[in-house]
Amino acid sequence: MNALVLNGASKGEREWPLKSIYDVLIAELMDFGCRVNQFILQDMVIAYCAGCLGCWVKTPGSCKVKDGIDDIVSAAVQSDLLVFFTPVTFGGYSSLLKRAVDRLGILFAEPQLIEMGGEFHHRLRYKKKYSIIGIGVAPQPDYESEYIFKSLVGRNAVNLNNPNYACGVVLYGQDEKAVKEILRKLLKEVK
Amino acid sequence: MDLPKHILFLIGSPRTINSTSDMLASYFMRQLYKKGLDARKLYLSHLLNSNESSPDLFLAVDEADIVIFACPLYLDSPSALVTRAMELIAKRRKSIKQAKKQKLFVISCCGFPEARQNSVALAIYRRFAFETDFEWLGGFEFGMGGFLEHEFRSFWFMTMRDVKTAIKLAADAVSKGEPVSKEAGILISKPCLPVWLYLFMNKFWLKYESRKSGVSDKLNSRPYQIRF
Repeated sequence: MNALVLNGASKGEREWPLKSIYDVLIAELMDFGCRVNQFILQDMVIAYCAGCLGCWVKTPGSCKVKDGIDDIVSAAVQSDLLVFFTPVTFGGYSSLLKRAVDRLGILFAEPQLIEMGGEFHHRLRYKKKYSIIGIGVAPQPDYESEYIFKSLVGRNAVNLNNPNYACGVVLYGQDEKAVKEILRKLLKEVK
Repeated sequence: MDLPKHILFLIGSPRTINSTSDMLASYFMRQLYKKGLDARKLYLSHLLNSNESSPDLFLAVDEADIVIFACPLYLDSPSALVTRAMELIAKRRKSIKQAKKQKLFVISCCGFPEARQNSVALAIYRRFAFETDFEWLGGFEFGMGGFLEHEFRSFWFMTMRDVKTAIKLAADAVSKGEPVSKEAGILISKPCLPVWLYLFMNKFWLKYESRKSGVSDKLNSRPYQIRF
């Protein structure tokens, strides 16, 4: 299985504890037999989506802004599993992760709307199914924040036309064994 | 109780004055002006760039009694630009004690026919309000946003009676610093067109724009597909 990992953590002082969790994630993915293609988003130049819809009606499937998103989309097209790694930010993704996800999402979508499961979504440009894992890291347990995060990953999975997703929240400073258990459980859920 | 005096609209759409977010916010502002309030709007895409840091954003937020986000939905949640603004505001509010109790209202717009597809985004905004000590006044979920981004948008908006009524109700509540009623939320989330007509207009717009660019037969291109 080819896994694309988008790391939306910043290297600021507060997020540094995420590095150990991230390293465990990569190790677990490899142990699971995944070929991992990882992108540390803070080290990349990815512009905000300009909302111009040029990728729909001027250069279909391609963004006029040529930056790091090209590599991410190329890798995503060849992947079977998308992994979003992020500090839980108001229940959602960090802005770093969101920059990549916003551009990836619209480049993956065709402009036409189709009905799926009783509501409308964009048809997908690349007709393959992706499994999605969302891994959030939070400073302390918080039911509401976790619920919002899981709802978001679930909705993203619907928009990527694949109900096969898993989502979990890990705590800063949680011991390695507990983190591994959570990650293994998530990987088994999407297998 | 102190009535609000300064209302700040933060427009999250990178399309700025040509966006649905801006159209709804502008109408909202006109209702507030009629009530004698000071309302101003700022475009987040002008305030933040890839290198961010925005003293103008901080000053404007500090001065406001009520902050209103008017933003598009990007993949089920606020866009990266809006999320970054929220991160910066949150960081600032942790480091500086707020001089007054401030309030927050949100308008989230999507291009899907179903306004409810904004629900996770609203939950994220509400969570932001909780974590940053803004009093939550509520949020609007608006669907069929694509309708207001093209030709004759002002004309189409004139026909949207429920939307205008909802915004008037919201402006009335906001002018008193009160939460916006559920009735207003229900009104604005009602489809402003039959779904079949919205889909038809969406197809028409696609054909029209793609023909202008000479790509009408390439809409489903897969430029990143590897071919063997």
